[in-house]
Amino acid sequence: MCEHIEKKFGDVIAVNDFNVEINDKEFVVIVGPSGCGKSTSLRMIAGLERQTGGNIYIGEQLVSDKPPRDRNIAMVFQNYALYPHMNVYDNIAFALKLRNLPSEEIDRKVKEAAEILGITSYLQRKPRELSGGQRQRVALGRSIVREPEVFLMDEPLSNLDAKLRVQMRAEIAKLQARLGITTIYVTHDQVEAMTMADRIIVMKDGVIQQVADPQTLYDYPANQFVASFIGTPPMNFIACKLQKQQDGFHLINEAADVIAPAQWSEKIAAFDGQAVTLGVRPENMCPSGLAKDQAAAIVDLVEVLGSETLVNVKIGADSAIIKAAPDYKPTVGDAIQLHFDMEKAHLFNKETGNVIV
Amino acid sequence: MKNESLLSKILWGILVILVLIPFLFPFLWILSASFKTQAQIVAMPPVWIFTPTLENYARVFVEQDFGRFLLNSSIIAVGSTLLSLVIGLPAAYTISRYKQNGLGIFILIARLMPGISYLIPWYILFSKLRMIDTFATLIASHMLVGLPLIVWIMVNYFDGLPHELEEAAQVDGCTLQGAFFRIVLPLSGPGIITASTLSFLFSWNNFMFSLVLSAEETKTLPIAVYNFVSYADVSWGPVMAATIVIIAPAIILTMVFQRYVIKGLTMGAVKG
Repeated sequence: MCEHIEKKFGDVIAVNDFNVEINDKEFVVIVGPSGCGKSTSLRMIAGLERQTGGNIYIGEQLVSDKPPRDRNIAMVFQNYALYPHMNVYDNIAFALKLRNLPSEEIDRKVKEAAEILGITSYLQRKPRELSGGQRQRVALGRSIVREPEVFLMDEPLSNLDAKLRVQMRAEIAKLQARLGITTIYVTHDQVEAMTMADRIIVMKDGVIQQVADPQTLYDYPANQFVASFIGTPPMNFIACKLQKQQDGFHLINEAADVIAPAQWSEKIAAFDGQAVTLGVRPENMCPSGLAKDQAAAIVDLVEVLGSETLVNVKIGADSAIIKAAPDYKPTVGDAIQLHFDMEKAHLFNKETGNVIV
Repeated sequence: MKNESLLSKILWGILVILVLIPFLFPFLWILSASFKTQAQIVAMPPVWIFTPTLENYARVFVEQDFGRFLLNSSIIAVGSTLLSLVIGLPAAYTISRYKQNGLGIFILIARLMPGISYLIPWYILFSKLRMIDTFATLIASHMLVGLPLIVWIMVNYFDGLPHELEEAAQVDGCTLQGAFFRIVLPLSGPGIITASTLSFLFSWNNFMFSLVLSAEETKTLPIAVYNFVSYADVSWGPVMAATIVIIAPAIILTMVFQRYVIKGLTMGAVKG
């Protein structure tokens, strides 16, 4: 669908070689930190921003040079962008009126959309008389009434409070599944991305880092950035050195000495003697009962969440967070031993950040 | 606490009166003089209690045909304001959306130069075209001020409108022009009213351009006041009555439209 599109603002490359094919009826989320080019990418797909290179196809159609109105897309904006001088009904009907549909048909479609979103009772109100959640529903209504080929959503939930956001998140996902319309959704919130997406596009500095379904992204991150961006708390990184010893490869630093799993050997052989980064998710690190286990750590902070306890520790020079059982209650300053589930750990190239294993 | 608030109210009141005196006193003097006879006006000490006379107004409308001057002024003021809107609104929108600040400054240059410097070239130009004393000429000349005024007020106004609204309209199926007419203009009421009121008032009160470019056919109110000034004397009563005739529509206009300049009309469009 997007073929090597690129956007430059002067000399600054905002989006570089954005090359993704999105399947019909798929829910794709573009996620990344602010300024990573995700909104710009979406706006190029919408036609609100002209790409400086590459082509965009919707369906079979090349739309690169078409204005937004000829792309058969609908967009939901972060600020809702409801027309303040029109009531809810007219807001939703606006696009249909522009297409000169007969008024009975407009009426039927608007009421249908309102029904789906549960906004029938305030069709006659003006946007300013609605709450944030209601406005968001109207904005959604304005999109679905069009029955477009593609939904584009630009951080639609970021103006809502946390509780409403979780609720709307589920509603949008359900709505998308029900209508079966291809959706591209931009957010900076990785939880939103993980919960809603069929596939996630992770972007950083205008470059796609990885495109994968949520579980793959979590289990097999392509690089250190993806590993740190997806998951809360984020993956822990421990700088260490790879050393071949008699019983296999060891990952060593001043606080840790971990034996790499045997199946890694082939891939890591080339890095023998080099500095690497070990990545272990918080849930794959646990406090050990042994007097000497894989790593020694000092407890920095204990966060009790009820269902689990997050323990911030220092492993040598690196900070890490471990997810422990709720009954585990160390005190700050304790020296503890940690055990890593190396089957689920990752090894990253220290220089490039790319994954080795 | 209560004393303090009373004191502050009194101080506030005094302050308001102090500010109002320089503005209101001349107006009140004009108003009272328009109902006095010539002798009462020039009397020293001033006459405060008198029997009002409508003779001055009679002279203004019967002797001098102020009705026609009123119509002339209206045609020119409304015409120049409307034309300025037709040209100025799309111009302002373009400057705002495409960040053509250079163009904006270029338009402002017209306003920065003293108006009087245009008069001689204009006079030569329009007389060669045999267009002196036509409405077209006067409307065009008054647009010199109205147009930059409207452009500059509206650029700021458009800058303040959320861009997403037009983008949403474009996605919904509008052309850029369609978005301008269907979304931007309906939301620009307060800005348009403010700019139009100022443009209208400028034209209404303009003396210099009309003095040079108009004659009998298109004589406007401010010029007509001069009809009461002769070599021998100044007929103060009719002058004051004529002044009131000029001021009254301006004041009414300002008061009526001030109510429409409601801020926050865009509330609810984006975050509320």
